[in-house]
Amino acid sequence: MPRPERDYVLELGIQLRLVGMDGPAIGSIQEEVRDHLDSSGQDPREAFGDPAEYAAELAEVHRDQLPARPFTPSAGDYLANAVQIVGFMLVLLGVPAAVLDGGAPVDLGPGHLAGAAVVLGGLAWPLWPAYRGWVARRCNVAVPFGAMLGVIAVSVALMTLWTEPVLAAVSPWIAIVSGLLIVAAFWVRTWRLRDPVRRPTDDPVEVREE
Amino acid sequence: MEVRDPQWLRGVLPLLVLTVLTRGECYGYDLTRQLEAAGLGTVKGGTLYPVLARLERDGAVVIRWSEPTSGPARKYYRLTPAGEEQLAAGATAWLAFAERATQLLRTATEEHHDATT
Repeated sequence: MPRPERDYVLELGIQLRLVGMDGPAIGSIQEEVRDHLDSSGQDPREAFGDPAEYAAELAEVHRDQLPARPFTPSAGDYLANAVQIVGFMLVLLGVPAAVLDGGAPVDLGPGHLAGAAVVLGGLAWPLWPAYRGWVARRCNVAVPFGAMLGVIAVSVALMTLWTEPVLAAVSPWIAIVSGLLIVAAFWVRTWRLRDPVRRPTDDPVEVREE
Repeated sequence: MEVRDPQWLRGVLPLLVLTVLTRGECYGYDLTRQLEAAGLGTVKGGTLYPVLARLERDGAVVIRWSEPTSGPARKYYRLTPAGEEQLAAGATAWLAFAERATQLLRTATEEHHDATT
């Protein structure tokens, strides 16, 4: 398939995901568009129009089956991300303490709590909206990347500078192990939620001779 | 005859698609060719496939996928008994509407012609 057609189909897939279509439905629509373009030799934008508008029109057909606010994190998603951030922090704090400080306890101060809160708040704004805007081709990649760097910089500054008073001292080994377990649990959850785009013929179908 | 206003075709397109499908199962691009051959102009994919999706959602057509030896898989549409009923009812209503619209337009055209001569 030539590059303009391939790019159009990929872009359509993104736009269909943004309106809340599931992976198998996206795969079916993409395959039908591929077949139409392959058969007709037409220009994809001439035949189907703007991918976002075409996705919106198809979403209208299936409005009852699609989420009201697609591609929007739920409270559970935010909570899971908050727990994951804590897991990462425990590993990042535990490793240097175990390796460089000879197993000295990890001192947790108010800066650690504030840093985690900044990262979590950053997910709601500006990280997630910037990421979504980039996926929907409404902004340059520099926007989510810049937002991420900004949030991390503020968080690291808080953790480094606001260390007193010490709220808790944790063994680095406990921090590392519990942090790794938390991160692993998050990735298992993410893996179970995945919804890959599937070609319709992943199921058994007849073979057509042409 | 070329259809001048795309809106005319949009309203009646589901019925025309169902009519073509009475000849047997068909895939999207073939449907556009048959409609074009019937003198209805070019129906773009972006117009046709949402109509087919509505017909599929409403149970008027069923689909099957066919895997080619090379290239993309092809989605075939077939008329269902519910689709045949929808076509029969829709065609009757459309013909009655078209007849009244034609009568009105003919009268208006004749009056306009009489007034100018």
